[in-house]
Parts: sequence; structure tokens; C-alpha cells
Amino acid sequence: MNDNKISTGLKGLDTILMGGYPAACPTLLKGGPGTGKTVFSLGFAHAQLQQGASAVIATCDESPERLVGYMDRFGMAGSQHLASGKLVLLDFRPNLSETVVGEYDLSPILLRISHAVENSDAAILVIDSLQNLLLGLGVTEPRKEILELFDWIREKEVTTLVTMSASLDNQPHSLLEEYAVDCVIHLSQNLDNQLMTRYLRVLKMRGSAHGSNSYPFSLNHRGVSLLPITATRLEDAMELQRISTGIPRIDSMLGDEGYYKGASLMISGRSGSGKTIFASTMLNQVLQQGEKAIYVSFEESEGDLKRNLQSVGIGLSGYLDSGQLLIHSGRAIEMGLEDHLITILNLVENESPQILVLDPVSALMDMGSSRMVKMLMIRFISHIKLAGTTLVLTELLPDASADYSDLAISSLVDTWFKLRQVESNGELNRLINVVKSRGSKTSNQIKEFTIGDSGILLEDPYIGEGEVVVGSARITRIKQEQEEAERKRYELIQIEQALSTLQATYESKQKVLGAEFESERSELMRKITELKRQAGQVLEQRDAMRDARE
Amino acid sequence: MGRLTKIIDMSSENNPVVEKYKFLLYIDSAKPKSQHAADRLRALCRLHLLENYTLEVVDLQENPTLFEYRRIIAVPTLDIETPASQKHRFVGDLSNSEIFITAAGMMQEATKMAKQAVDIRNKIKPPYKPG
Repeated sequence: MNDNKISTGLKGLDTILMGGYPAACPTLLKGGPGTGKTVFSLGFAHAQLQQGASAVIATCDESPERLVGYMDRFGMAGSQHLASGKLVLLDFRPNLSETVVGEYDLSPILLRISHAVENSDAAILVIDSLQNLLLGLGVTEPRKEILELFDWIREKEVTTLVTMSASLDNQPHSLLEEYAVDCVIHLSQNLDNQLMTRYLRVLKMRGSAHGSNSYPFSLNHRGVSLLPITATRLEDAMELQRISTGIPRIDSMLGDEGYYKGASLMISGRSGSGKTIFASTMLNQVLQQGEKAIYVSFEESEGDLKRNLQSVGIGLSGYLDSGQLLIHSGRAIEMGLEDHLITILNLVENESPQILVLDPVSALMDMGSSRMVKMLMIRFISHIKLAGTTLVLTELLPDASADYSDLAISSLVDTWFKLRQVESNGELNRLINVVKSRGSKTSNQIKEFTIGDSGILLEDPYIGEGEVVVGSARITRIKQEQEEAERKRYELIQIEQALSTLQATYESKQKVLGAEFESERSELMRKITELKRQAGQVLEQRDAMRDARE
Repeated sequence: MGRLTKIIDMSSENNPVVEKYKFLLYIDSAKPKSQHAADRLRALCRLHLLENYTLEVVDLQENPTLFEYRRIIAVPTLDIETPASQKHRFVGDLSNSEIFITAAGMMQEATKMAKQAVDIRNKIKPPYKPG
């Protein structure tokens, strides 16, 4: 937290303003009717009251009683703070029955405010909303005297939030914006496709950096929610734990271990390809581990979903009753994309589930220009990731599409499954493959699966000879293969027999040859002995002759 | 001015006439525009024969809490409570007296007897010009 900033009480806004509203000087919150100015200012006051500081709210629109009522309803304990004296409400509502009879000074405004701030030792001051302050006097534009108030605020170093209604036409910036305040925040409403979205933009902030984009935000029964951009900084913690998908063969396609905890997964497929069942199987697996889960359905009601999943062996009623599972059903057209995402983020923040299923995310996609949707999805996905929740998105591919993803968010997800239906031999067969999975040894195979009473069952498809064969053709192919193998085995036996015959022949021939060799050899040996003997006789005779001559 | 005609209602005739107007004048003694408000008010009353009143002057510098309680944002502010308990608030230094005189006149009309009221209205025809 920055020293010269004061928390706005809204996490996302603190990030955009890099700490909060500038301390010790006035901030102007400008917005048309219904943009949530009052809620922002109440949130700010609440944040300070929570920390034990005092706050002064000068209300020019609504009665103090109603403001306290709002705070109570938003869970800000307004009446409690009022009773403890920490919260001081100044009633500056215009008195419309006043008659102006000459010139006047506005010194009581400053005096009342300074009196209240000094008496309660308040850290912050809220004025809501400035343009109505002088309405009773028939003045709608802030007068010079109001600037004195801002000078006093700076002099006394009171952090102040002033709200003001924005004119509908693009008037040049008022004196107030250009001179008097140090930070200007614009709130606006945009109507797109008949759906309203609220945006926030920081126009200026003296002496400090700030986020400069238009940020969507949502007003709901809990106050203001901003879709924060923090997570787009890519600072997610590293997660090594793997979670099973609930289908062992899919796990093995993801490198034998399943997906990483907190990953974002997308399942793409045309209608009827089994996306919901796939996502629910993963959800069921997490529920069985005793973890929390949220299922957001844009197509089916809670009851329908329960019944439909029961038919494939996924029973959710028990988990719903125990509160472990939350099913949030709603039509996409109910509200704007930002409101949807913020609602879901709030659910995630409250429940901190281990897994969140959005079925189908494509229902949200035609709710704005594709670029805007992508930007929002980047924020959304990274925010969910930051919360450590596994995100499962299903994407409905149009029937006419060539199985390409229409959403430009495939690069944002960690793991992407593609479900397909292949038509052959008069039947549609289901296939699944892993398009990508970061940080896993993914299988390159296309697997066939069937949906039965016990959910998804993966089969090994026939692979080889160039083409994938599925369904009954696969069974035929397997039969053919078995016959082929049988034939080969028979042939093998025959060859083996031939080989052993050859061996026997060889061996017998070898024996004959050996016998011949032996007889030949002994004959020759005998001849050698005979010749040696005869040679000996000749020598003996020669010796005898020589002896006789002598 | 139109709303001041509401004051003329039948109930005031049945009520016992309350004698006095209550004037409460809130000023800021530090501001020049507040300086002569009380004098001007007295002069106007004198000029238009409005005698039965009480005037109390409250200074912002001395009693800021009262300003909070009465929700005053400008000085001088004049609160009038008529004898028929009708309340009116005027903001400004009474330099634009025409409006004030007309309004005050109509209040008298409502609380005084009709004849007397007509007399006063005849007398206030020429607008009062200060200074």
C-alpha cells in the first residue's frame, strides 16, 4: 500500500489507482445517473470505518436515513457505525421551498463541514453529490465559493471523495475538474446489444501513475465489483499438483496424471458431442474428493442438468444438498458479459471452489465485439487462475463450422480437448483428442469414446494404414485383423515344420558323410602303414647286403 | 410565489389568531453581505406595518451546530414562522425586496383579518427601493 494513497475499499479500483484515492486531497467521481456514484462513496467510507477511522458524509441527494439503509443492505454496518459516532452524516439536501431574496454567502457549507470533520477527527470526507448542493438556490454549476471548500480540504489534508453528475453531452471540462481536484474518475454506462455495462475510467491523477483503460464494473446487492486487471500481470503461483479427470484413459492421454490443479481447460465440440457430460465427469471427480465445485450453466436449469447427468451415472443431488456443489443457471441474455463474469467471479470469491465449469462459454461470446470479449476473457481466465480454481470451459462449435474454434481464447487455456463426431457406415461416432496441454506429455492419439450408463468410456480406435476407423467399421477391421493373424500363425507353423524337416535331413546327411569319411580315412591309414612297413623291409635288406659284402 | 397562496386556508379562520410572527435570521458576522440583513428586515417590517413580530439573530461563528440542525447552506437566511405556524425560508440579503414583500404580504393576508390585509396590499403597491 502506497503511503500517499488511501484504499478505496474496492480491490480492483485500488489496483487501477495504484493504491487508492490520493491522500489529503480531493478526488472527483463523475458519472451519469445510475452509474453507482453513491455506492462507490459508501464503499470508501466503509473501508475507512472498518479500519477504525471516522468518516463524514455530506449527502445532497438522499436522506441520511436512506444512506444508512443502503450501507446496511450492502453489508457495511451503517447503523452500527452511526451509533458509535464514527460515521457522521451531514444533511445537505436542497430545500426547494427556499426563496432567494438577494445576494448571499455560502460560508455555512464550509463551516458545517469543517466543524463536523474537526469534531469527529474524520480521516475522510465524502460529498455526494456536488451539483445538487446549491439546487435549492437555483444554482446547478459549482460556484467559486465551492472552490474555497477544496482549498480548505487541501489545507487541512482531508482525503475527500466528491461525486458529481456528468452532463450527457460532451461539455468542456468544468473548472472543478481542471483546477480544483487532483484525481478525476469517470463512471459511465454503455448500451451494447440492448445490454447495459458500466465502465470506470481514471481521467487524471496528479503526481501518480494509474491504470488508463476503461474498466467494466458491476453493481449488485453486495455493492460494487470491478473486474480487476491484476491477474493479467501473469504472476500466478506455480502449481504442481495433478488432478484426475475421472476418466483414467484421458488421464493417460495427459501424460498419465491428469491436469494440473488450477489449470484452465477447454472442451470444444458441436452440439451433442458430449461436452457437458465430459465437464461434469471432471466436476464429479473433484466432488468425490470432497472439494467444492461451481457449475455455471447457460443452457440447462438446475433440475434438467441433475436429471440429464443422472442418466449417465453422475449423481449430483447429494452434493447440492450438502452445499458442496453450487449450480448457477441463467440465460446469457439476462445481463451484459461483464456482469456475468463479475457475478461468476463473486461466486468464486465467496465459495473458493476447486473447480468451476462454464457451460458453454460460447453463449457469452456473441455479447460483444470479439476483441472486447477476448480482452475480458483474458482478465477472467487469469483471475480465476489467481484464485487457484480449475476452470473448465465448454465451447459449442456451430454445426456448419469445420471444427475450428471460433473463440480466440484457445491460446489462453492450458489444456484443450476437442470432441468430434465422425460419420461413417451410417453411424456417428464420438472421438476425442488432446489439442494441447501445457506441461504434459500429451498423447497424439485420437480416441473413440462412447457414452453409456456409467458415463464416458474410452475405446482404442483402430489406428494404422493411414486412416482412423471407428464404430462398427472398427470392429470389422479388428475381425479382419484377427483372421489375418490366424492365417499368419498357420503359415508360421508350416514354416517351422519345414525348418525342422530340413534340420533332420541335414543331420542324417551329415551322419552318412561322416561314416564315408571314416572308412575312407581308415583305408588310407592302412595303406600308409603298409607302405611304411614295406619301406622298412627294403632298408633291412640293404643293410644285410652291405654286411654281407663286408 | 405561487406556493405561498397555499397559506390561505379556511382552517386559519377557525383558529384563534396567534399574535406574533417569529423571525429567525441566520447570519455570518464575518461576511459583509450579512452585516445589514437585520437592519433591512426591521426597515421592511416598519415600512409595511408589520409590527407583531419577534426577531432573533443567530451568528454562524457562534453557533455552528444550529446551522447543521437547521440545514442552512447560505447566509443570510431568514426563517419565518407565521402565527398560523406556516414556515418559510428566504435566502439572501433582502436586497431583492420585492419578492420578500409580496411573500410577506401574502402571509399577513392569511393570518390577519381580510380587511386589514387588503389595506396592506394597497400600501405595498409601489415597490420598495433600498438606499
